[in-house]
Amino acid sequence: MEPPVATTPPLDEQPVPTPPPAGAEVMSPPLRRVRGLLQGWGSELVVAAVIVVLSVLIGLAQPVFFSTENLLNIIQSVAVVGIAAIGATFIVISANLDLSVGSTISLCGLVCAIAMQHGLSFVPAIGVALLAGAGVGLVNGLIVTIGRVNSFIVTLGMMSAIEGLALLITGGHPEPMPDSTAWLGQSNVGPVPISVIALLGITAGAQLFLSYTIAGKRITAIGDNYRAAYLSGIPVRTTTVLSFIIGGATAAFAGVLQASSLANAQPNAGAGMVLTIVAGVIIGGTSLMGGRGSVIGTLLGATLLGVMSNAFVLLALNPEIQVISVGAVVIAAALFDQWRLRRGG
Amino acid sequence: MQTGGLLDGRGLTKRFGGVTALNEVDFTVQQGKVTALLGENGAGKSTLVACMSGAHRPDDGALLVNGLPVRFRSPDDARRAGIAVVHQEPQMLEAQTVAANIYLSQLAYRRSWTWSAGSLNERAARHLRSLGIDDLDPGRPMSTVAGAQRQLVEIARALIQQPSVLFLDEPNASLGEEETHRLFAVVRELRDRGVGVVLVSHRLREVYELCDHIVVMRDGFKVADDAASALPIRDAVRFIMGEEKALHPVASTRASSKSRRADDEAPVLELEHVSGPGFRDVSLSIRPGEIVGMAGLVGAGRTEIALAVIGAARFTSGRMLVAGRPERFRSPADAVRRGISFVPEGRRDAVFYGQSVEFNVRAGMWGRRTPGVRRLRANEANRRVRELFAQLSVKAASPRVGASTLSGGNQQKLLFARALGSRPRLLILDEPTHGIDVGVKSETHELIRELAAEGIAIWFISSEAEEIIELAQRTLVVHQGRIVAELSAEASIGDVVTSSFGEVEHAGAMR
Repeated sequence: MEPPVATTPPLDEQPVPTPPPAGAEVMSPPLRRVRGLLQGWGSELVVAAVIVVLSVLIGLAQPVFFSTENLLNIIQSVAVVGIAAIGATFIVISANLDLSVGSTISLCGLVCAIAMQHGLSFVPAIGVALLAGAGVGLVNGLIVTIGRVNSFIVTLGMMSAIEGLALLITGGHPEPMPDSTAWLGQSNVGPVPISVIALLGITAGAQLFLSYTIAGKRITAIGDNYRAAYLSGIPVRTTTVLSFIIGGATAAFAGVLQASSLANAQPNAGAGMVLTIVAGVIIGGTSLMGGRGSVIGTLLGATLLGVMSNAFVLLALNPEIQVISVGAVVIAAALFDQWRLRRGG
Repeated sequence: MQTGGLLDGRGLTKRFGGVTALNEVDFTVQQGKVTALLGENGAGKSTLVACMSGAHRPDDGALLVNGLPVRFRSPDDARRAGIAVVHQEPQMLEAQTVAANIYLSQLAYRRSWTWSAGSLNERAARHLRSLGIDDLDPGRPMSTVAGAQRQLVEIARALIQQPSVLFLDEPNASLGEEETHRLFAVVRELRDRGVGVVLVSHRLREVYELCDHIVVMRDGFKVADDAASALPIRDAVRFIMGEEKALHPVASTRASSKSRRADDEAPVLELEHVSGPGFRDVSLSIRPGEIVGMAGLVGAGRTEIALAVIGAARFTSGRMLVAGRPERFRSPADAVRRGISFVPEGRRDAVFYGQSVEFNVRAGMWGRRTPGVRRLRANEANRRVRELFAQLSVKAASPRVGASTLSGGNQQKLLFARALGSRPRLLILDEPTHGIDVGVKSETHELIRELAAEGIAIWFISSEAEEIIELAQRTLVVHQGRIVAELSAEASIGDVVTSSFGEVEHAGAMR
């Protein structure tokens, strides 16, 4: 902006201890762009750097790590969790939480399988499953907004309710997926699995939605300061519900993908995934306080978890240690988030 | 420079990045005296207070308590040394009672193992009475206590520790005249007990009423340090603003702005005998281009009326007309869609602290008639942000810097810009100059006049009689939830103040 009149220097009472904006003025435009890019994507770059360093270390011990097959394998292994985590990112940015995401994955895989048993072909069945997931999100969102209940407890209850529902409609048995569905979870385009393409495509779409649509910005706004968003005329309830619907729909797609790759839908397919999903979101730099985060960060967070689990296999380490290390990484990410908040970055 | 104060700062220096916010400042808090700390926003007042009360560690310089050098590693260290700070926007435990908030420190300094609500309420009531506060029930939950009384609770809390030095950081920024006087009575009482008080404030007249000693900061330097009797207000203003600015009288445009009359245009907003939470039987109308002031004591119900109008609270009876059509908004989003924007009191309810300046301004464009999935039209929006910035002279290094890095006055402008982003026909401003410095305040006034001249109706809520008189073409005075007077542009400050206390039959009232 235009420099102010000389008599009132734009000194702030409590400036942040980052280099002063004055420094940016003298940089050449392209350099400033690069710097701007780096500033906006700081936490993503940190996660990316951690992935690179970790990969190099693993690769030194086990050169097979860097084979194309293994790398694709890693990304494929995080596709289900990653896609669900993308939707969960929106919910966390809006300063809510969705613990029912794992149960939604199970339920929607089943919905897809059952719809096909009733004669639908695969693509319409995916549509039905997405509607079911969006419906779960709608219910979550309505209870959170209209009922004004904390999302943690709403979705905790929903987690159990949906898990029960999934067991009820199947009697606890897996539902087979027809062979016509195998292409989604089991086939490749060239060397690249379709599930990887789906993950990357959804990541790109969701990131564009978050950054370049008004709805995306509204989600960020209600997470940063709900009251301010409300008073400035942002439809806060609709926006909250929308974030849950997005979360439910991506969980549904993750459920279909999971069922397709396993060739059957299991009523407990998503059990235990919730930790990994939330972990991916948090490791990716999305703040649990809301108002800050990115889909690309979530993709990187999920990838980091995939690299870790791959390493445990390749290095033949004790799998129990992997469980511990995932917990440690989540806590470290949360600590890093707090440290950054305090630093004012 | 006097020595032997209760608290001495010597050569205090504090840098943030490359910015020196505090430059070798000496500051002495003397026993039994009230010292005013004056200066524009960004002059370094808050940084100085923070350095002397343990919130910041100075990069250079020394602190002496009773002549002995000390080093505070935290605000708690300072508290133990008898230094208390009353902040502008106090942090409270909202779900706890007033009494529990006042005695919060008991959780830190345990005197007993048990916590009895009953005896606590009694002690709190006694403590509040000793400060002249007898209309605040200590058993009330904090969440039901509004602006001014929160400040009094914060002060009561600070005084529990019986500090020898008390910093008041703009304690009366949100207080009406009555509360201010009550607060000042408390300050005088403390001074007479020998407490050294430092008052940071922007209201010079009141400062001079109270203070023994004046210190003026500018650009991180101390530029004046004298007894109040030796430094006339005129000179203090010159030190505060710097020479050039002080030469321009602040209220020069008063006559011209008031000349505009809008009687012939249909009202943007009419309220007919509306009642709701905190107000009863309110009728008013506001026309395009008109500046309608709303005066009254804090807690009189002014904000409540505005919140009900924009749909953040409900009317229980009465009728509201917007541009001649009956309306009831279900949410502020509805109000924005129909051209009514609200700038809330207190930036905490308004600023997106984690986001950029640009985001904060643009947020105002995300309510009105915007289908959510529409792509942001970056060019159009950027141009609008630039326009608004230029119009409001927001001082930010770039629209991309974080909103939290701006000073209070600039954050306030940001909120104006946001409210204007939806191109409102009516702008409701709730205490827009609350806690901003003299220079920015006159800029804000100028801006309000310009917006009115463009045809926007302005509903201007303020607790400061002076600025209401200066700006408003008509002033509605609210007392205990009712409009008790409607004053013309010719009314005096006295009229506003007396009717604010419910004295209706005064000269100057139009009805």
